Amino acid sequence: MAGDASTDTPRWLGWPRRGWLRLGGWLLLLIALRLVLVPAEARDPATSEELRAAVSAASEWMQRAQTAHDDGRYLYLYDPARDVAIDDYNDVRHAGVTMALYQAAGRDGDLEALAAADRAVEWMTAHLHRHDGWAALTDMHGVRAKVGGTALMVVALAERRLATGDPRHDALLRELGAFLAAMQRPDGGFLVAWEIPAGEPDRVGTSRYYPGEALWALALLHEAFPGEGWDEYARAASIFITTRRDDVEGVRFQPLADHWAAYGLAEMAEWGLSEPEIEYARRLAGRFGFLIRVEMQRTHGLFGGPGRLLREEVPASAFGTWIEGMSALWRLSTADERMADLRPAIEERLALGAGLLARRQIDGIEAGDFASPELVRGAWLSGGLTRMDDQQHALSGLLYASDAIEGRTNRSPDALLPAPGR
Amino acid sequence: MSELPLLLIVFWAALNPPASAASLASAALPGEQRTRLLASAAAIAAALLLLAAVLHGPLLDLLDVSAASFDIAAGIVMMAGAARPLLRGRAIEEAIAAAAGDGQRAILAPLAVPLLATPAALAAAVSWGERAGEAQTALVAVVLVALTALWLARGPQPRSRAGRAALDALARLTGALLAVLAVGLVVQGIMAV
Repeated sequence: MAGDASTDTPRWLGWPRRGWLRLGGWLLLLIALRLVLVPAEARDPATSEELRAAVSAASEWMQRAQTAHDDGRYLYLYDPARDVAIDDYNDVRHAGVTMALYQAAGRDGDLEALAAADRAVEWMTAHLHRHDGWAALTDMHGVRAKVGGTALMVVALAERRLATGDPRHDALLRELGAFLAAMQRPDGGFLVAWEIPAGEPDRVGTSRYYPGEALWALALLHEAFPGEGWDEYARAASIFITTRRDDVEGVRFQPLADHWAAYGLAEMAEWGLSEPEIEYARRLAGRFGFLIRVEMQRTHGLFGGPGRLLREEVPASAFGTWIEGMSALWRLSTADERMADLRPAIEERLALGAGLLARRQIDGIEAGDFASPELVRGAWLSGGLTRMDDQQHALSGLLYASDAIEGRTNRSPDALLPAPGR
Repeated sequence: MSELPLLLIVFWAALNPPASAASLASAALPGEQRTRLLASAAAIAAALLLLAAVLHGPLLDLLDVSAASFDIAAGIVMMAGAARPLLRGRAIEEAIAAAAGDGQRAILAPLAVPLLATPAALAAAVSWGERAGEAQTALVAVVLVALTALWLARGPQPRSRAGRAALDALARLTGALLAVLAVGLVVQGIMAV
């Protein structure tokens, strides 16, 4: 019977036809995998010099972008092909860009960047709402004070304090911190905003990222003012984020890629982190690693990058956050032995991912193709537009990725800048 | 900790000796020729798996992919390799298995590839070569290929209905085990830094 089966089997080139078909099926699977799931990755690592040059260029863009307004705001959203600034603004992102500008000013020793960031702080101090002993950053219309905006204002002022040693905003920092503390829920999470006309918090809305922003802000407050109890609020926020936030917020693909939480955990490393916090940090490193790897696959490989057929490059405002988060976790890996085994992989991912991000920055030659080159040079474009937080997240990410490449574990500037008026 | 127990499980599942035995049960392979052909095929299969385990680094460099990304692809290849044993209790189709009776021509295909050096085992050799070390991975792969070949060389088996049912069940269970390992590999690839 078996011999009959062998004889009766249809053959091509002396081998069973079914065998050829099966071989073809496997080849098709491998080709599909190569095209869709595992295209070649960008494998050109960045140098720290390259990243620091990109940071300086982004900082200079922010300073030039501030000339679009005369009140300390930045150019928010810009279409360089049409040379049109789109009329919109966001207070949370304003605070975030200012934070990044202070980071660059401190590291570059750049007094012009410091002055620009100080002008941006003036816009924020003109948009404060005070109540019951606290202060909060409001939106453009003064009707809503969001936890995220206030938290990033705290971070920006804390970065200024690190860069200059100037205590002029210490009282305001405490007032802003008091708002974050007042908005913290019993579970460690945060109410999303204060409704100014109603004189009460918004108890319905939530935000996935505000808790991480508040965590980092509260951790920096403890670093600035130890012994005042800010660490207790920060710890409660950290426990909420690392154990409950993703479920509360219905995050389907957990953990949420929350770079703010990564910054917060890295800041808290010297206080000692619990096992759940470290376990979360390890999972978070995996999430950032996956996202960076996917982006590394998007522009390389067969046919000049099959990923381009599926999706555009992600904006720098997203890619930059992955580099920021991974850089913060690198810093954590240098401070906590339970993360140390991940350090080589984190460093490799950072060098490759940051290199890819830096090379997407518009340089002077490319900017010359546009009507207003000064509003494009040093920026990142996505879908033909640039938004100010593209530069913010890319700047912070590349700055701290360069630290990882250099092995520089201290996040603070090496020398203090002279603060104006001191 | 040694990864040896896990490697044994992975390569047992990827090679699936019960499914291979079930596939060859009806092939026309007379005793003396069967042993000779399977020995030659096992040598080729072992060499291929050895190369895959040892050359994992250059292979990943050639493809320009990270080990974690490769794990995702390897997991999918292993899932595809698990489908037939799981659903049919066979490693390869009967029509292809029948070609094992072609004498010398059958050594490379189908005996060495895909019966002994299965696509799943080749993918696993690269993935585990990277994570568990090439020497350990290659050793386990080669030993299990040799054991599988020895089992197959024992001749058509089993004759009883109960024995065939047991072999079929074992082949399907091993296929299910491979599917679970494959899903785990994909998840690890996604979660890795």
